[in-house]
This record gives sequence, C-alpha cells and structure tokens, in this order.
Amino acid sequence: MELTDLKKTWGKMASNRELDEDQLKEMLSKRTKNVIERIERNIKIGSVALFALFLIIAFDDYILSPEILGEMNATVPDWLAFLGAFSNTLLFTTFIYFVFKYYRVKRKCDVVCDLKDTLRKTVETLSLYQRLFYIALGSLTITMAVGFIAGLFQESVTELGVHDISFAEIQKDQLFFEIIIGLVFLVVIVGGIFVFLRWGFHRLYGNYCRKLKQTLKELNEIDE
Amino acid sequence: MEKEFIEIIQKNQGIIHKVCNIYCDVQEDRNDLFQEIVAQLWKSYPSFRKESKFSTWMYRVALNTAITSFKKTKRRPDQNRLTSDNYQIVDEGYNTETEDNIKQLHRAVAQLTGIEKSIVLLYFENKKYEEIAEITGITQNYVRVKMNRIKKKLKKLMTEEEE
Repeated sequence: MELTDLKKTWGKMASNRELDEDQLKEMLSKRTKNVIERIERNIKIGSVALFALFLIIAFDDYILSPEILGEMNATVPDWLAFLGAFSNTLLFTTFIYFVFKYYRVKRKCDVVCDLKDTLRKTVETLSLYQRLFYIALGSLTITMAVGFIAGLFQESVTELGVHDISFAEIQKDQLFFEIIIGLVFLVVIVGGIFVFLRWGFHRLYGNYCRKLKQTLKELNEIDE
Repeated sequence: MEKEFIEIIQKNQGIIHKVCNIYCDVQEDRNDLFQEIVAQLWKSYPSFRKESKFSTWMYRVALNTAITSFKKTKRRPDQNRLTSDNYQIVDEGYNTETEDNIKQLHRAVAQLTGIEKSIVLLYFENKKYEEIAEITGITQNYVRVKMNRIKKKLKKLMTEEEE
C-alpha cells in the first residue's frame, strides 16, 4: 500500500465516539493537569514543606532544646549551635529559592506555543524541577545528619550525667567504637533515605524526561 | 464562555479523536488523552486570539498535549486495540478490505516517532506545509524533508509487512 492509499484509508475513518454537550461539560469539571502544572503544584507543596520543617527545627533549636537543657543544667557546645544555625539557614535559603522558582515555572504554564517551544519549556521546567529536588534533598540530608549528630551527642552527655562519669573517664577504644557505630548508622539511615528518594524521582520522571529530550533533539535535527 | 467553548469543541471533536487515535493504541488511553486535551484547550481558550485558524490552534494544543503527555500508556491484551467498534467508515460502507487497510495503517503509523506521527497526521488531514510548519515550529523546507523521510519509512514498513 502506498502513502496515498494510506491517506485515502485515513480519510475513510471517523470516530464512533462523538461526545455530546453533557459529556464534554463533565470533562471540563474534572481537574486534569499537564506536567508543568503538576511540577508547579509539587514545587508549591515542596515550599510549604520546607518552610514547615524550618519552623519545626528552629522551634526545637531555639525554644524547646534550650529549655530542656536548661532544666538539666547542660549547655549546647558552640560547634553544635553553629551546625544547627547552618542547617536552619540552609533550609530557609532553599525555601526562598523554591518560592522564587515557583513563580518562574508558573509563568511557563501553557501549551499554546508551537510544538518545539512547548517541548523546550517542558524540558527546561523538568531540569529545573530536578535541580530543585536535588537541592532540597541535599538540604534535608545535611539537616538530618546534623540532627543525628546533635542527638547522638546529647544522648551521650545525658547518659554520662546519669552515671556520673566525665568524658575524660571514657576509654578511647570505647569512644572510638561508639563514634564508628554512630557514623555507620548515620550513613545507612541518611544515605538510605537519599538513595531511595533519588531512585523514586528517576523512576517517576527519568524515562519521561529522556523521551522529551529525544523528541526535542529530533525537532532540532530537523531544523539544522 | 463555557457554552461557546463546548459548542466549538463539539463541532471540531473529530480533530481530537484523530490525535488520540494516532497516539494511543488502547481505548482507555485514548479516553484519558481526550480528557487531557479538552482540559488543556479549555485552559488555553482565553488566550486564543484568532490570529490563526481555530483548527490550527486546536491541532497545536492537541499535539502539544499528546507529545508531552506524562501519563504512561497502559499495556493490555489486544482486545482493547483498534477494532471496528472504535471507528466508522464514512463512505462506501463496510468492507473487509477497508478494515484490513485501516489495521495496516495503524500498524505502520505505530512504528513512527511522536514528531513523525504529528507530521503524518497533518499531512493526512490535507494541511499545507506552511500550516504544518506553523504547528510544529519547524521550517517549511524541513517539513518537506521530513515528509519524504516518513514516506520512505512507511513504504519500507509496508513492504516488510507484505513480505
């Protein structure tokens, strides 16, 4: 069969499923989002989550923990206070960056330009989203690591206080062993969360992004 | 505005059905894509400035939506694939040869890439190269080049199938 025959065959086809006014109205009432709109929504959710996390950690670092430590007559060492302030600043900066980028994505939210422009916008938005995801994931990983170290340290101080032992009295071998165990836990838990979320992101958007880039490349090759 | 929009869509829904037919193998996927296209057309409708023909604008939004659709196509057994229940033959009535040709057409088109499908669809719909270029964003010259490549590819596919 030649292409002209294919064209004739195509001309003979018509859909059997013509929709009436009510069916179309029902369709309009359902909320359907394209990928840019979904990313826009996800960035919005991400911003809110980051801000909430920032508030929770700031509340813990500057109100809750000092109160508890005050009751125990314990003080937070400077290096730990610095790490806490660092992770808070990191979370807040990430939140601001998310808000800024959210408005950039929101402006791109349309499919009325030509195919090439739409593909370019979608690929750009996906790349931006990927970048934001890794920045947020990095910030969260650092925050979790800092929290883990602070928790471990505080627990050790409390335990020593309960048994009325000072740091100097602990055997070096035992201290070294406990640090190693703590680091292993840190790497397994924080690293595991990082790898799992990264895998989830790739599974969700990896193939889609590759497919779009391939299609855009095909269009660009056409124009060269 | 909604009433006006629904009237226009009702009149031109053939365009959306054709885009769904060329991009999806399975009826359920076609329904999902149809819904997605209608939603995008509705969202974009206020920005339609009548600078281009309504059908050109509709093809543009429909093809953009089909190509960038995020939904994964579902793989199911063959019973959901294109059958004579999904379409009607508009002239000369039903005959087995036409039905075989339609199946052959779909098998051949299914082998094309997303861009090739959009160009061949517009070609089948008798769109001029100028309009195809306007919808896809590539130059008219390259629409010609691409169309020649698609013709060769389809011819090769048909020959392979006949053998």
